[in-house]
Amino acid sequence: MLTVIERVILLQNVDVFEQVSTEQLAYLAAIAREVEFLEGDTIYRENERAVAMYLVLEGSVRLHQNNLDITIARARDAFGTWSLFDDRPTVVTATALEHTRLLRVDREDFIDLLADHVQIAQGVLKKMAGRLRGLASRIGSEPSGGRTGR
Amino acid sequence: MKRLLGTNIDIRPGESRVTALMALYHFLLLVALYLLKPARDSLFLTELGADQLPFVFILIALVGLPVTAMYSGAGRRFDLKRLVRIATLCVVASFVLLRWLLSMQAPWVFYVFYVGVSIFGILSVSQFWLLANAVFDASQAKRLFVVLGLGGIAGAIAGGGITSLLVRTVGISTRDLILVSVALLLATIPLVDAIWRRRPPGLGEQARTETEGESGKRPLADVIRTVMRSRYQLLIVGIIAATTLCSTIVDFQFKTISAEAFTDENQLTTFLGAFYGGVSVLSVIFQLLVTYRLLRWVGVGGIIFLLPVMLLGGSVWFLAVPGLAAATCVRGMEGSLSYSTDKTGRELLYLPVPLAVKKRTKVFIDLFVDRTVQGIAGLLLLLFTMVLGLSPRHISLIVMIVAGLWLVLALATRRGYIDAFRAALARREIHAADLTGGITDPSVVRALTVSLRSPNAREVTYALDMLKTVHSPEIESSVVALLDHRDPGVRTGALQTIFGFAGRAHLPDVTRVLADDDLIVRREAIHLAAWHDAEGRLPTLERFLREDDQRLVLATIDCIAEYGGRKEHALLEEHADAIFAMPSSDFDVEMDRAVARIIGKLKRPEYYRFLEQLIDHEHPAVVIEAIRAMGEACDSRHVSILLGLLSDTRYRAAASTALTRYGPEILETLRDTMTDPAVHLKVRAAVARIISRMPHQESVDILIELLGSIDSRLRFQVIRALNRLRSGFAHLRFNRAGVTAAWVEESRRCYAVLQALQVNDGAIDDDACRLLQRALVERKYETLERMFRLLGLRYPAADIYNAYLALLDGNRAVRASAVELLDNTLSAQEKRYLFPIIEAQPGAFPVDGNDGSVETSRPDRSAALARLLEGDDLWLKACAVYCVPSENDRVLWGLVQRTAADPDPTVSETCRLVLDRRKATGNV
Repeated sequence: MLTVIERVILLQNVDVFEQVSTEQLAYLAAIAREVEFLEGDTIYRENERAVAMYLVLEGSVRLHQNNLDITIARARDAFGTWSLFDDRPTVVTATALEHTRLLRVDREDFIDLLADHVQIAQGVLKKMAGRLRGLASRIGSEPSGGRTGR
Repeated sequence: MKRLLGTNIDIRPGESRVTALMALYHFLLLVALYLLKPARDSLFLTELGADQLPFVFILIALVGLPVTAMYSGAGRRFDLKRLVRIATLCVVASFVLLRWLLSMQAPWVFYVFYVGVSIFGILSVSQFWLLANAVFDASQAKRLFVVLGLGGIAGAIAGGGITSLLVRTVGISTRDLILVSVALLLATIPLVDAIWRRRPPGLGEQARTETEGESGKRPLADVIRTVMRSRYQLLIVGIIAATTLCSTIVDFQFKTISAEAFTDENQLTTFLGAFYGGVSVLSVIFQLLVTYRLLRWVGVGGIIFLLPVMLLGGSVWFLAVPGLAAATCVRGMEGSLSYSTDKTGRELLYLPVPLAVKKRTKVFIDLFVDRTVQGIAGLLLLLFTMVLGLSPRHISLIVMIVAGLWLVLALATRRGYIDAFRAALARREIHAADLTGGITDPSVVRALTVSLRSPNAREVTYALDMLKTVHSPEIESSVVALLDHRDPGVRTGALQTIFGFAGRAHLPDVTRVLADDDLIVRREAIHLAAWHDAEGRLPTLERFLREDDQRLVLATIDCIAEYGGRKEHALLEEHADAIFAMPSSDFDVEMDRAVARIIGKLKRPEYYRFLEQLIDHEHPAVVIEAIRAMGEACDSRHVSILLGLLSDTRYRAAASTALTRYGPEILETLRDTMTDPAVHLKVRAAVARIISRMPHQESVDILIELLGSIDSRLRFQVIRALNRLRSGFAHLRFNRAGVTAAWVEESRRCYAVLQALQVNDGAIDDDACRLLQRALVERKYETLERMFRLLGLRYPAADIYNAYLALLDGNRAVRASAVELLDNTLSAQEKRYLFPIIEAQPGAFPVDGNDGSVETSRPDRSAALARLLEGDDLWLKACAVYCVPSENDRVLWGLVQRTAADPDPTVSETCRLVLDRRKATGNV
């Protein structure tokens, strides 16, 4: 089983946690748990209610819609990140391609953690705001809606 | 009487003493002022003559504004109680000195005295209302300010009467009235102390920061621009200018004629005392008997014509028959109307102005325009009397011209008012709290009645809120019909509005609402039914309490908690056992919430055991209500319970608010909690936030003291709490030595982090090294933020914050400006510590700053890791432990062995991991 510090090393590379400090990630690491799947096991199905985010520790996971492959998640890759923030059904099915070990963060635990560690929420929001800003500048408008292109 | 005053006088239990003291304070202030005013006029007129009045009008305009600005500035620096005390003592000392100087008979003294009394008149009134806003919250203000106003009116009437009595009957000289006034002012000092002791905790400071926030700090040009952009506000400025111009000229005419009629100083004082007293009586009569009726009849648009028409007529009379009778009547009419009916009209003109705009511009219009025009009036009077040689009689022509212009302005304003009001209603920019005078303008009432039929529930509720102060039979049927509205908010609003109608006639309509599904609607129905029942409020409430229907009993308890006074609470206590022992039902949660609420209101220790039971209730809504009740009761036994609840995120906010209500009495306990290592960090962080909401000097002192001893993980919370106190409450003092010591400590931490960063940078490229590097960079920025936050306690916080943001900016020019600002702001010692950090010269860090020595040697990587392993930063310690295998230093491994027993789980777990790996590789 990984220690907190080893989990932090993995979690710091997850895109959405980029702006969260490593010390705060240690709290996140403490609520994460390791889960194992055998080859062919379904981790979650398309249109199911998403409840957790996963990070691949060992093995690989196929993310697909029916028979259409979307991507393959390998060691250190994260998937299902958005399920931490909204409870809409997942758009893909996740299937273990081999014996796979994952780090799982449940949404309920994550929300409880945010209540006590506002800095984590701050870091996530900072990242989201950066993304929105990037998107807005790509389409030539600010998030407030005012056109800047003309 | 309530109807006459157009409002509900509702003094609730616990409010009567402080309300009485405030009314007495207002009374004494006004008596003092109305003793001084006749003395001021009489001495000036008999010693210098009425022809000098224009000069003194100009002087008041010149001195009035800077003094008001200075007073406002002092208001931001001192706490309110201190400000009132200092201002009163200054006024007392000034008047005693002036009394002595008056015996010298030097002409300049009479100018100074005239100006001094006028300025005292302006400041004492604004100081009183500032205190009133600090002592009462918004809902109390609505109910109680009428009583305070009555105290002032009584003071003005009594002051005028006492002046005449003292001079004519007792034989006190005009000059000695000053000493009587001084004695009264001295008596207000202990009175203010007593008032301050009885105010709700924390309210005073909050009110002060709120009042100073909007208008005080805006640049004048910005305010003028806002006014100039609005035609409607320009019309209001025109009306106020015309009012002040006419008022000053009429005052000059009256005083000139009075000085001619009474050559004896004491006779003139007696006459003026009686005159001012009479004007105050007339003001009350107008306000009580005329204003309300006139508003209903002609509306705001009509009422603003009253004073110019009166002045026009009065000036024609004075022109035809110049004499004391005409001058006294015109000035008396002007004085009484401009402080009653006309003032109400002028205030109501602001109603359609959006609140944010009004906050920015009203002070400017009321003070700046008024003073400036008074100065202009003085200059015009000089022109008319000294240059053109016009007599007071002929100056009436000028009054007639100005009054004519005033009427034209009033006509334009009337049209603008209706249009602006319609627009403001559509945007919901009018607040019911602004309607203290009541809206009775027929066109406005019509617009609101139309809103009652809107399909939008929010619009209907808004209109109902506005109509609460209107006593118009035409709208009653529309409001009663809303009792069947689908929205419970509308039904509640309708009941509250019907309550304002004194609605006994509507009791049958209300009775059917008693069975409403919504608790708040039932509560309001009971309020209306009990308070208007012919049988009397208590028997009706008792009948409801005995009902079998638990929903009614519950609503009755809620009603008593919300509206009850001492007698209603006593009634509840009679039924307490039955209520608390009620059998379980579907309404348990609502009932338990109501019980918690009423216990908080009753504040009877014998019922606190129920609260202690309710705090363990399975339903969070009940627990939150019990926490609120504990906050109301402020019993010392509940402090530990509330502190314990801080660890639960569901109750943290409510428990924080409840603990804040205890005020400074629990600061010692809060300090002990902050320093108790057994208490969870998140609880201690919440406690720091609670202390930051108690704007007392002790809070600041405790937080600064904690800076030196607190767990390093809480330093940020403590500093942030200090920042909050600093930014919100300018009167608090921050111990310089304590803040500097904390700042030096932070800079040392920053140097240690920077040194570790320097030697770790690129040393070995593995996960462990990269993690430590990232953690060190994060620490550098966190420490730097704490350093700048601490600097914000010593220097202007906004400047320091801007400099901090600029330093984080990648732009070199922006960074250079920040460095320049800091170079000109900080002390030599601070610059010596800070500049190497921000200029990234880590080779020259003054590690030991106490003796001024500078450590320039750079430690090697092992030494830097050893420093982190021995430090108190647990996260850096864990990261450093993880790096030790890459260094493979015997001393470091020894430190890891010792650190394995660290109480922090992450540190000990990491030690075990690296030691196990070492053992596994056989590299021991």
